[in-house]
Amino acid sequence: MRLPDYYEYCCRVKIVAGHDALEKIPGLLGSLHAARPMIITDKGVAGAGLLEVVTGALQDGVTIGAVADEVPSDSDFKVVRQLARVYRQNDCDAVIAVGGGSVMDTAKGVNILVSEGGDDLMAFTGAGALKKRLKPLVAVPTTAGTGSEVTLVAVIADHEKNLKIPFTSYFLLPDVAVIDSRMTLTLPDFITSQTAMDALSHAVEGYTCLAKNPVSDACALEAISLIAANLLKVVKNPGDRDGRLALATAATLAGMAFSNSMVGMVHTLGHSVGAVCGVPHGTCMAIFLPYGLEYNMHKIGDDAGELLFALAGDAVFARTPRDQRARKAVAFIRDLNQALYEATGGRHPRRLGEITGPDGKVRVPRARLPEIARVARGDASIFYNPEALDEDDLLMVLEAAWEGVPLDPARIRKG
Amino acid sequence: MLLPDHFEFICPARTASGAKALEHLPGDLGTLNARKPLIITDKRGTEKGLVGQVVKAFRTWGLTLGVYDGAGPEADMGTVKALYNLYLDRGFDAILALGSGATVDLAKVVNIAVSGRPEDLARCQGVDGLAHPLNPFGFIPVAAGTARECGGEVVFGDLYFNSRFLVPDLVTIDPRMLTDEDPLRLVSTALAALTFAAEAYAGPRNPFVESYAQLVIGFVFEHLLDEVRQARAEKRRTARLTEGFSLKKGRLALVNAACMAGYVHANTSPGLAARLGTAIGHRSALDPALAMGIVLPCVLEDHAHRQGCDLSRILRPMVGLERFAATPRPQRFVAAMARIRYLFNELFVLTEAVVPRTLEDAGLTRDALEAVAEAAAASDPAPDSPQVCRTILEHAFTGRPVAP
Repeated sequence: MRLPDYYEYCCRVKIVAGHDALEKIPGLLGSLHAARPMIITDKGVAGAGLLEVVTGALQDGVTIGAVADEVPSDSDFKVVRQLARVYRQNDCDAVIAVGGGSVMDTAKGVNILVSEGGDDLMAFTGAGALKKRLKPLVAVPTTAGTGSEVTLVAVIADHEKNLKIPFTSYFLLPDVAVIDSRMTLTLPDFITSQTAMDALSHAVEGYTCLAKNPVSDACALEAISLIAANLLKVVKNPGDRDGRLALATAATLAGMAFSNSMVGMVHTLGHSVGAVCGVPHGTCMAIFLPYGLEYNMHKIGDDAGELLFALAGDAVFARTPRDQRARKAVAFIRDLNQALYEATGGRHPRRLGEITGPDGKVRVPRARLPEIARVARGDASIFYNPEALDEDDLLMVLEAAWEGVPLDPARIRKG
Repeated sequence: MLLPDHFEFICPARTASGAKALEHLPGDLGTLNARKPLIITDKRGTEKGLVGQVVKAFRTWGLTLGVYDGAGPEADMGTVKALYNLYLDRGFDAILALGSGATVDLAKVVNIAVSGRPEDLARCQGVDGLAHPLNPFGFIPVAAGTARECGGEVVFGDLYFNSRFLVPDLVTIDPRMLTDEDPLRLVSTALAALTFAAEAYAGPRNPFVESYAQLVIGFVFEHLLDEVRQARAEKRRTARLTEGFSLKKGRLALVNAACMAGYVHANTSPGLAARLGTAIGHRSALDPALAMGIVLPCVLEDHAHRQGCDLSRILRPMVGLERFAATPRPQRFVAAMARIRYLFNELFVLTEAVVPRTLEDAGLTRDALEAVAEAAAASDPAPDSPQVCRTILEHAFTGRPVAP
């Protein structure tokens, strides 16, 4: 139990988890003095029939004021303004966000406008811009990955100005996160694997990066254990409700960990590949996670060794000599990626070079790696990485991840 | 391990712990839109210069604050009324409770009154009686306490409240505020914290609660004996002055444990060890927290053996990952109970028999156990409860483990 000289921890979101957690929403809204929620979601969620599950669970307890399912894949100022109008026109008094990261961010943006009034989101950027509680916000995640249901950030794009604007405030935290196994039950196997690897990367980086603290450590290890014990099982048996609940719970725990301890180079590289080549975030996380541990290993040896306990279980941990544990943790994650690749018929990529788009073309051409490295240098998460990285270091990791080979220890910076 | 079909968790507090934590407090209050807090403390708060430290931290932000140092066991409804008037008349917008136990309870009661109407004190009693969040409330611990300060339960005279809205919004643990304490008060706090955390393992599995519970147990096992040892060392005061912050790390960890135990307490029902300890405290001179700790291993053994709960994972925070993993699975629970008993036996040695190992050490008689069993069972719906309580107390009387 390492206690840093100073740490902060905060996650004020009420967590309600279970196989029938959705049915608790009317009561939860009642305790927040709301009875006419607006549901915000996207076409994917609605198309998968999840919206009906949510409305079915709500029908006897509250009047649904409005349903909006037009959230795009990256949340956007225009959509936020439009949904705020829908909220007002229908006299809603709370927001229920059902979806992944973009829906959550959009709902947070809508909540700013409907609580503060007006149409100008830009007035609420910057620390301290929000000064009072917003309308009740209930988050129902449907991907078991992003952890957005417990984060205080919303990133909303202003497509007219080609900008992504971050909003940060404790008032943006949802009041309640409702984790219900039914919401992820129909996720395709390769989405399940990639979103879970996103959660795993939150937990692993939360446990190894510079702003770690005892509470984020405890949440991270719980999350890693739950993912390692359940992910492959669920991918092979998608109807495993208990496994689904475990993965969704793990994603929330991982969100609680990383939002308090920050993330490092796995996210630095993932954000950049996403920005330059449009690769889904979870795919990048799965590929870069072992490289993040390898690159930082000389700085985080004991922590990385402890990850083996959560990943592989106490028996493997006990039998592995201390100086081999960190390497074994990396190998465990690589083996997990390989097993997921096989279980999903190759739709869970193991290296950058084998990611293909719908047209069958390579999504991350090798020639673009230098550009990705340049973009990565400007990503804020790089500051929380235990070992420093310059553009050459980033490119070296990208090259290895493109080919799917381990890092050459001789080329790793030892600062 | 399977998760239950339903579980919940909430911890509304923002915890800031460590060097210069106080200096973050004005900014943290600002995020809650509060600018003019009223400190509620007791005479020790002003006499030991603790209030001065807080005032200094606020001065750099150009903020003013009020100080009331009349809290203590004698505070009554008259005190609440006076503070209610003071808060409203002077335009305060937040409360900072500096101290422990009764001081924090008083401050929370005042916050209920100023956040709504004074009538709320009568109207909003009981479990979940409060309907709205209260005004911003910060807690600044000063070493020892009840380990319930960060929870949602408040007892003040005849008033009883239990609500998540009573968990502090801000918890600021600053080593400068952790005054030297009677080691027995440290022991009492740590054992209450240990009991709340360990009993959380006996309820339905909840990974959010266990994340906090394992930290509580870990900090207590890692630091309590050393802290008591140091606190009793002859040259302790000199050592603290010269060696400074590093020596306070153990104290800081124990206060973290006490605060986290409060968060656990706010998310779990009172366990049998806590109820037995309270009942013993009411019927004897023994500190309820010590009584809780003494009965704790017997209660956990009863859970494991009679109810078939697998509590072997409770060993992990007591010994760390390395030793936990090295202990064969069938030995883990027995090893954990042995660790709790070892902790007591060591405290017995270190305090020269002031901390009892058993109820017999504590001077209780066998006759007194029956009334304790009845009282603790009265608050437990299980039909076989009085007999269970009797068995547990009988074992805790002599320190004999409850056998499978």
